[in-house]
Amino acid sequence: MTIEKNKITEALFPSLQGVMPSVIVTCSKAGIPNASGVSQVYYVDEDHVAISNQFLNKTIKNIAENPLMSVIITCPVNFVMHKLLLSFVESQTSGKTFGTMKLQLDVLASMQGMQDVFCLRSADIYEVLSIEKVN
Amino acid sequence: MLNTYHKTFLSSPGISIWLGSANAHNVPDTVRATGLTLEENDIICCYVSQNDASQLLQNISENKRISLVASEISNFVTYQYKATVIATYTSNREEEIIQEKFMDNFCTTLTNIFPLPKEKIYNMYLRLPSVSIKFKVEKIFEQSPKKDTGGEVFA
Repeated sequence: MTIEKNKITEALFPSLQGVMPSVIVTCSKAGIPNASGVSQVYYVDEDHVAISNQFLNKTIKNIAENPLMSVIITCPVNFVMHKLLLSFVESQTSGKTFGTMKLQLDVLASMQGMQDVFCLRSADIYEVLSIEKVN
Repeated sequence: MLNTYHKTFLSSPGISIWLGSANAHNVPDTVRATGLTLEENDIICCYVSQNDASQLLQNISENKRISLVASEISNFVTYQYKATVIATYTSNREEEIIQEKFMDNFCTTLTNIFPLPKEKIYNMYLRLPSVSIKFKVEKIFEQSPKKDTGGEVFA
């Protein structure tokens, strides 16, 4: 399997299961980067992913000013990392993607004993602008 | 700013560390770091594989603001350190040894939690040579997963 420049293929699916936490970086209009961990980057379709918004206050503020986000996802099988450059599309608080993400997050929270902490505020949909293999 | 608590936290063996930067057009970038050294006066020196650092170095040449996020993988305690870059240079052998020890400790902690192959992870994550990114911390934010997280920490 190969990875097209801007398309998510099956090769990346293991990295999008929420096994390895991801780190996202946004940037304010003033040029100040903000980094944060996220539980899961979720596959929507070959052009889009969803980020689980649980605690992302500053990230949401930055995205309102500047829609770009950088995220690294890691494959739990071979530890290969990929860097994705994303552009914000919309926030969803209902529907298929939100429901599936909430279910998966509930499972992750249960495994980590954090059921009272992990609350999905929204499934934030991003367009994939580029994909780069890191290591 | 970097009090005893944060120095201890940043020296713990199981922390995962990442750097965030942005270029002059505010396009963000993420890289995994492979170790750090604490210096006096709130200065941290962080190490990144040269293979991963080209965009980071380009961004720093355009915008000196940087963000370090450090997360303890055993309990998810997480802090973000916002800083301004002071210097970048090719890591010396002494700094490579620091990274080898840091990543060995990290991989040991990781594989004690998850049944993963330590040597494989170590070799995938630590790829020398590296660059050293030295920066002065100006603000700290708590980012541990809990309600109302994200607030600035005042030492």
